[in-house]
Amino acid sequence: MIYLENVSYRIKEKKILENITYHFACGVYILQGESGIGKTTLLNLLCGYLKPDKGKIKKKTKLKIGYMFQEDMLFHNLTVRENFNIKCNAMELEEGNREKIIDKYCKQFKITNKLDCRVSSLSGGEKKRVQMVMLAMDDCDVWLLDEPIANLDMDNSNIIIQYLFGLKNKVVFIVSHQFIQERDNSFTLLEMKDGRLYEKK
Amino acid sequence: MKRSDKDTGKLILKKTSTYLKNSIMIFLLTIASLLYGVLFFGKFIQENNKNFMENDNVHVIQISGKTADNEYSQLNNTDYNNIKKMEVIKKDAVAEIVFYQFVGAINSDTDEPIILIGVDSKYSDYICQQQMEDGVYYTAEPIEGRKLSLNLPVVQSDKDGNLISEDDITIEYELRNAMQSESESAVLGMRDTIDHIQEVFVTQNTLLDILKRVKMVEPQVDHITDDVEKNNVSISEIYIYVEDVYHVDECAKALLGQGYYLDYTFKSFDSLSNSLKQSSIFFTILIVLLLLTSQINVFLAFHSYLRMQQKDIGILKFYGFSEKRLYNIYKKNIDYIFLFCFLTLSLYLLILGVAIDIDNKWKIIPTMFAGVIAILFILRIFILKIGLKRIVTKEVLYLVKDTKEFE
Repeated sequence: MIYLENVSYRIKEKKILENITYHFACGVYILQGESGIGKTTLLNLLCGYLKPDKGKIKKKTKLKIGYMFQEDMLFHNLTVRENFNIKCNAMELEEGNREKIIDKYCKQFKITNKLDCRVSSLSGGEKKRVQMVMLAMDDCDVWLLDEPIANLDMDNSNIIIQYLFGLKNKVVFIVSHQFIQERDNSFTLLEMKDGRLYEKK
Repeated sequence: MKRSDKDTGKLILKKTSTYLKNSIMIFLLTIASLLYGVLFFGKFIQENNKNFMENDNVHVIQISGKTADNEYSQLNNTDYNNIKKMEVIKKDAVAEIVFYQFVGAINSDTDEPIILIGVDSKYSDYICQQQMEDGVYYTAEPIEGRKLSLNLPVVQSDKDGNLISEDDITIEYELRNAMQSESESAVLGMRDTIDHIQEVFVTQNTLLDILKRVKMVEPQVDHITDDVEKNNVSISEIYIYVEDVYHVDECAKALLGQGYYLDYTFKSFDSLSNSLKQSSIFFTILIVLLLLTSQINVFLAFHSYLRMQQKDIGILKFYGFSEKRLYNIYKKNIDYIFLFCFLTLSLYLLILGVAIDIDNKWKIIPTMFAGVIAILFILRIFILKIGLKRIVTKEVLYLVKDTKEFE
């Protein structure tokens, strides 16, 4: 789906990524590494928010990419339902379909009872689940998630991880410090070091 | 605009910060002060024009004599010529009206004394309701009949060279009751008249003709100003009409410096003309400053508002809104704010128009209304093109990573 060919990226004089060549096919990828190593930068490059200084990032045509930032991208003074409505407005979803889709994913992420609550009143985990609903609504081909389970309790983490691992024919790229319990080698573990990307056994 | 975008706009508008609301209030108050200031200034200008600029009284300086060696003396031709040659008079005066006075005429019908005053007919506008003609008597007070006969003594010299009058002559001319009243004429309004002695005005040519007929003037004299002292005619007053009221004080000072005895409206005030000029300048600067500060204040407020909206715009972009849709959503919200300002200021102008008493207000108010529209329109263009357009075209990362300065 996404192919990195000799991709390099620098910020001023600091080398962040150096000649990375990698092919992301459908599946789950978990990227680990020290803080400040360039994991988020890689995500931003994959998403297209940044352009590489050298090399190419080739993508399948009409690829839909969804991104979950480390910080929540929600309107805090609006309710969860209002946030979803804005998302539906952006997607230009018809009125009739909206409720159905919102209902489906809210049940999946167990957030239905929080629809009329202000985002500012939600916990960290609840906010992440709201963002997951938004990503799910988009039905993306590529899921890029920056620390989706950071500071979450076990229950919240499990809801999110279970959903991500259940996605079929998608590229799921997760940046996470936290240990994600292996489940039958169903994901590829990656590590970044000195600007390079390695598969970890 | 799509309904979905309208709904998004409404939700975003809920987030309008207190800072922006406060800034809009301050902007409206400033513009309201400005509008009131403009109307007040307009009224000030109108009053000034009525009382000073268009009021002939203020433009006139009366010269009635001169002081030399602490002695008061009458004006003469030399004074008239000297006054005309003064630089400040040449520069600022548009009329130097001389009153040549002849005392000694009697009304043939009533036997009442008459003072004959000769004036240059080119200055008719300052003292008469019509263009003065030769061979006509002009009065302000009504005299019966269409003709007036004046008895004048014919002057002769006896064998010792003394002037005697053994004979008189009756000179009858058409009579026109056409002099301006004291309230109509700035020149006549300044004069002190003698009770029970009527004044009759004639042109200088007519006065010269009369004086020749009573043999007070040699036949070859062409003009009354030629050797006025010998012609038994005195210059009772000279009136200077200064075009620019702001120069009256300057002219008066120059004349006083030459020792002339003056009377003029500003005499009782300390540099009133200067004060009026400075007041006009002060008001103009104040209005310009108010306008500038209000514009800058609201532009900065909107700019800060958009900067604070930066993350929200980033989130909306992240959700999937295109730049064009984002621009339209925020443009609509900004337009709501401007519409609110426009309606508030229009209502305020209407109330001011009813409340304030000023001439031509229903011409002035629409002009101010147009001014308000222009101010708001220009401001809106700046905010949309420089502020909003710049922000919506930025990348998502830039928009969401920038920190809020203050809420």
